[in-house]
This record gives sequence, structure tokens and C-alpha cells, in this order.
Amino acid sequence: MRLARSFAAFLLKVTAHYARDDDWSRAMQSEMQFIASDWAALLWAFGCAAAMLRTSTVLLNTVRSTFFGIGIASVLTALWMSIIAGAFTFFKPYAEQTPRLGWIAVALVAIAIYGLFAARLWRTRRAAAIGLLVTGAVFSAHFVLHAAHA
Amino acid sequence: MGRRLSAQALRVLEAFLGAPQHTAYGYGISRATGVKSGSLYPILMRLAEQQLVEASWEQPQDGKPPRHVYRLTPKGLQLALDARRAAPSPKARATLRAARS
Repeated sequence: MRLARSFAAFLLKVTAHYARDDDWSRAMQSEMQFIASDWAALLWAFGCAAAMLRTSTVLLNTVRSTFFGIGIASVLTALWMSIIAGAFTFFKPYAEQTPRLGWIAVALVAIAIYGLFAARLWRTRRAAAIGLLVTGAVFSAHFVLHAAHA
Repeated sequence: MGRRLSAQALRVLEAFLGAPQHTAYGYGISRATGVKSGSLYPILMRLAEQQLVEASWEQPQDGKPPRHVYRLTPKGLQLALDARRAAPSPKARATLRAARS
């Protein structure tokens, strides 16, 4: 078997495993065996892999779930940012006297909240938990960097 | 029928009309219509979902793996014939033009 055909078969097998493991993906894989030219088979495989990804409900659910996690992290971030902004607006003298370490502690509490939410979601909606953790980490790092430079 | 079919989906349906017993394979349809595999399979899935095409497995004689074969359903055949009547294929259009000139 030539390299192009082997790669095409591998590509379809891997994509089917992650995107959709059903009759349709098996149909795409078997149809490739009936294409005489290796390069035509490779082109066929690229198209089929794209089709599997486009029509994959597994992948779509993962993407949706990840965005759900990002959404939760954004809401949490908006909440604690509002609390900090409120502190500076309504209790300015007190807030300005708060040492930098105090604000970093606030960020750590927020990170712990992200962690708690992610732990809650980990078993049932892992993609959402990962989305939440990554977004939370980015927002927190952003805040810590600002607090350190202030 | 639910949603309207795209021009490519109608082309795929029409390709069955030229096939023996309105039965065709994925690669054959792709070659007949010029629709690449990336678009062809989502179209075939949709057509099967709408019961315009039915898919089954066929066991070839030469030791090759089982192959998915697609067949027009009576509903699909009717739609393909309607589509051909409403918008004839480029080949048919060329024949008509030649006949008129």
C-alpha cells in the first residue's frame, strides 16, 4: 500500500474515532477502498474527514459545552470585577489603602471559586470544566498582572 | 417535505436518474456530479434523513470490504424527476439550444 493511501486510511480512522463512529463514517472509509488512484483516495479522505467533522454531533456538543464553561467563567469574572470596581467607586479611600497583597488574595478567592465550579462540572461536563478553568486562569492572570503593576 | 434542497442536493438526486435501478455508490455520484466528498456525504445524510434516498450495505464478490450503496426511494425519484423537469441539466439545456437554433 502506498504512503498516500496509508495516510488517507489513517486520517479517516482517527477522524471517525473522534468525530463520528457510525455507519456513515464506515461508508466513507470503505468507499475509499474502491478508488483506484492513491492521490484521488487521499483527496477523497480529506473531504470525508471534513464531512465527518462538519456533521459530528460529538464535536458539536464538546464545542457547545466548552462555550458554556467560558460563559460561566465570564459571568463569574464580571461579578468579581464589579465588586472590585464598586469598592473603588463607593469606598475609594478604604480601597486605596488596601495593600496589593489584599487584592491578590481577592483574585485567589476568585480562582478558588472557578476551581469549585470546574470540580462540580468535571465528571458530567468535562469540556465545560476545561473551558471554565482556562478562561478563569486567563482572567485571573490578567488581574494579577494589573495588580502587580499598579 | 421539510426544508428545500440545495442546488447541489438536487444534482445528486438527478445523478441517480442516470444510474441503473437508480442505485449508485458514493464515489460514482461524486464523479457524475462533480460534488466532492466533503459536501457529498452531508448531502447524502440529509437525503437519507428526509427519506429521499436509502442506504444499505453491499458485499462485493472480489474480497473487498462491504460497500455502502444508495438507492432513490419513490419519494426521491419523484423529486428528482420534478427537479429535472423544472431545471434541465446543462447537457439537456445544450441539446435544447442546439435543437432550437
